[in-house]
Amino acid sequence: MEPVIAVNGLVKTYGRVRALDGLDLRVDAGEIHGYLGPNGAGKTTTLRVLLGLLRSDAGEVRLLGGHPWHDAVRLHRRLAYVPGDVTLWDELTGGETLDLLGRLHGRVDEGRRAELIDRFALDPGKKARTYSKGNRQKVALIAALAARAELLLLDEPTSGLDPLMEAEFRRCLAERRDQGVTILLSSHILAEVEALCDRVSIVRQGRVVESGTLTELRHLTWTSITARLERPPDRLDGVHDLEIHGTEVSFRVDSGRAGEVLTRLTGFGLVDLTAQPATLEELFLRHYREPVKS
Amino acid sequence: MNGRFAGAVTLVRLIARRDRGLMALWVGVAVAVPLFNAYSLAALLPTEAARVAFAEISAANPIATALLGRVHDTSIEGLVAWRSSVQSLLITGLAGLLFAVRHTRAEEDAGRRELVAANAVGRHAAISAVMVLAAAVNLVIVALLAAGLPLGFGYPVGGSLLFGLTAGAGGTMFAACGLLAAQLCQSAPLARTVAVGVLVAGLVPGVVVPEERIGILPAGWPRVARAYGDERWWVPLVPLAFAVVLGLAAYVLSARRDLGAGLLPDRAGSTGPVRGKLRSPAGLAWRLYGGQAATWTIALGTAGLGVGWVSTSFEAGTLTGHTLLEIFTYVFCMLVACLTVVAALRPYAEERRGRAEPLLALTGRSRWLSGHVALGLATPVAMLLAVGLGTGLGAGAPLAQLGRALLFVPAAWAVAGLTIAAYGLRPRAAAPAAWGTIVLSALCVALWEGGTIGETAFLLTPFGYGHPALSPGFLAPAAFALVAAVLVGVGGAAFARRDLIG
Repeated sequence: MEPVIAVNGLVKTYGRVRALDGLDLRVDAGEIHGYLGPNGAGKTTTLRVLLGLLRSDAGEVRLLGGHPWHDAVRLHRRLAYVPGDVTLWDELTGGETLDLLGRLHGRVDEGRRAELIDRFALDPGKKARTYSKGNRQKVALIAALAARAELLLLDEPTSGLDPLMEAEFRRCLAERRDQGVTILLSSHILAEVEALCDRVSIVRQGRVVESGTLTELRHLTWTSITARLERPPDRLDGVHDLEIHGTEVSFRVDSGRAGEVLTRLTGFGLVDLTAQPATLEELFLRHYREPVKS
Repeated sequence: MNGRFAGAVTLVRLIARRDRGLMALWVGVAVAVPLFNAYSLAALLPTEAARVAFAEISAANPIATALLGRVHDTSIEGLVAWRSSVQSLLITGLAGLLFAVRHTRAEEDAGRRELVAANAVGRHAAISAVMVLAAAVNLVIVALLAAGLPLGFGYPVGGSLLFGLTAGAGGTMFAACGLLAAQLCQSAPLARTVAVGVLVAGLVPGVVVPEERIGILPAGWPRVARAYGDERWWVPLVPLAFAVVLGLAAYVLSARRDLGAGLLPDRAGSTGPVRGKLRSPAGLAWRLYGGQAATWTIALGTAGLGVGWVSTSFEAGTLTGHTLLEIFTYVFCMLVACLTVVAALRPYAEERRGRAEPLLALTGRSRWLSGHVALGLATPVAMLLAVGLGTGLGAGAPLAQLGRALLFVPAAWAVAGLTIAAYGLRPRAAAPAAWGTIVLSALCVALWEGGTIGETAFLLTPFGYGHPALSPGFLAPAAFALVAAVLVGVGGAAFARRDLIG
């Protein structure tokens, strides 16, 4: 099956700055794909190229089987977008803004919109001028989630939302995914991505440095293990960051090598054991602490 | 087509919803000015003999001739068309181009174009929506003029229609010019500057272009059209053709460029640590607005130099070079008063946009306000210095002219003081109060010159003692300086006590 988003070798330069430097990205139908990177890594630029708001300088981009620049209007009817920084028209109320955005999109589920207004506790009668950042964000989110779209492009959509609304947002995304919608979620909130996403791509300086399911990414990393033993060990081979406090040991073991280490631990009389897979945060920091290989 | 116009209808409705008030004002002013001219000229010049005499005086007045051309038709409707031509183009043109930039580049600057364009909206939609609405507004203006002048004053319908069409087509052309500027320039302020520059270049330099070739400029089109005379109905087609060409150019650019891009970029800023001047609120005020103030100061000085130079060799009937110089100096002073209001309203703009809040968390209120007040009070001094030096050097009498211009400083400060006092007491009333004062004072000039109000009443307005027909003592300027000081004090004290607006 053709992927919903297929990007190969995408380059976008602003003057001398290479915002995207040979970026590859693949998002399959029906998944929530986390697009991770710190500020300035190229996340927003990627989304804008996908939306046909920016022209690519090189590389190949396919979106829902079409060309993002040339087929923009046709594709936009099938997707919905939430920008990272939402500004609205001061003179319009929240309700009028939602109506306007719905008309501009063209395919809106009005029942779902009413339900979303309720779930996000938005007061649609107020002028947008009086809305806080979180409320402006809600307007854009409701408009996007109410659209009959096959693909949602979300650029750091939860900035400004309180924890209650963030939880509501996660529930909404999960529902939309269950209805078969594909979601590209750009974010730097790792807990959110870890909780929601099926697959993750990590972007750094305009390139995707890692891509896969969380399990796949963990395969490339390690498991953290803490164990209580009967006898204190003097040494333990094949592990990293070993710390020994009497009969308690903690260390990291490379993926796929836990078995042999456990065998060795049993030799010291294994009493108790906890094992934790690497968190996304650890994965992420690992990529960003290494210098870029040129 | 590929859906390039998709969403245009919805955008038309959005703009009409947002700007219904502004569009009504635009129509109102554009229709009211010719109607007012018809009313006042009929009262002023009731007989053919009076009109012929008026035409002779106007022919001897080089400023009137340069801006409006000679009077060819001494019928009352001919005079009204002559007097209203450039005014109408200025109103429809300025409104049209500001409207165009507001709904294209300014929307993009604000980040709303991204939100809109991610929907099923074609790349031509916004430009088309603006073009349709600008044309519609101008059509309403044409219809109201073609109906109002015959119904209200009994003018011929044909001539009124041609007069309206010339203004409406010109306005549509300048709206298209604003659209193209918005595509070329990377920011809305730059686009406005460029488009207004084109408008001014098209309307003002009748001074440079001889009467017989004035048709090459928009300023000359109403003269070539000769409404109420031997009417030439093809003339409105010229601006319409230009409008089509400019609009198509805007289409081409908007379909090819990136979001946020433009051929004329904004200046890139300093990336490093801020330079010394930015360490105080006054330094920040200077950094934000100093460039604008400096540009105006240089422009006023240059214009003054030109006027001064022309005045040395000027002689037309009763109008001597000296009188010309006096009149222009007075007009420059009134312009400085307007720019003073703009400068004095800046703390309000900063506060309303939420930019005062972070600074007020760091520094005291009086310190923050004093930065803006200092710049607001220094701006008219610098501008009047430029006016005095420019006109004085051009005319070869720098000291006398410098004195004449600087005499206006207390009046300008009084205007600034009033603005600041209103800002401190009732921030939302500051702009109406300040601009209301300017309009009322300008009206008083006309009323005093017409003998409706007495000299004492006139001297109470800021434009009073500086009038060239009066020889001011030092009492009036001193009184205005005192009033200004009190008003600034009141404004500062009130600002320290009130809530911030959000």
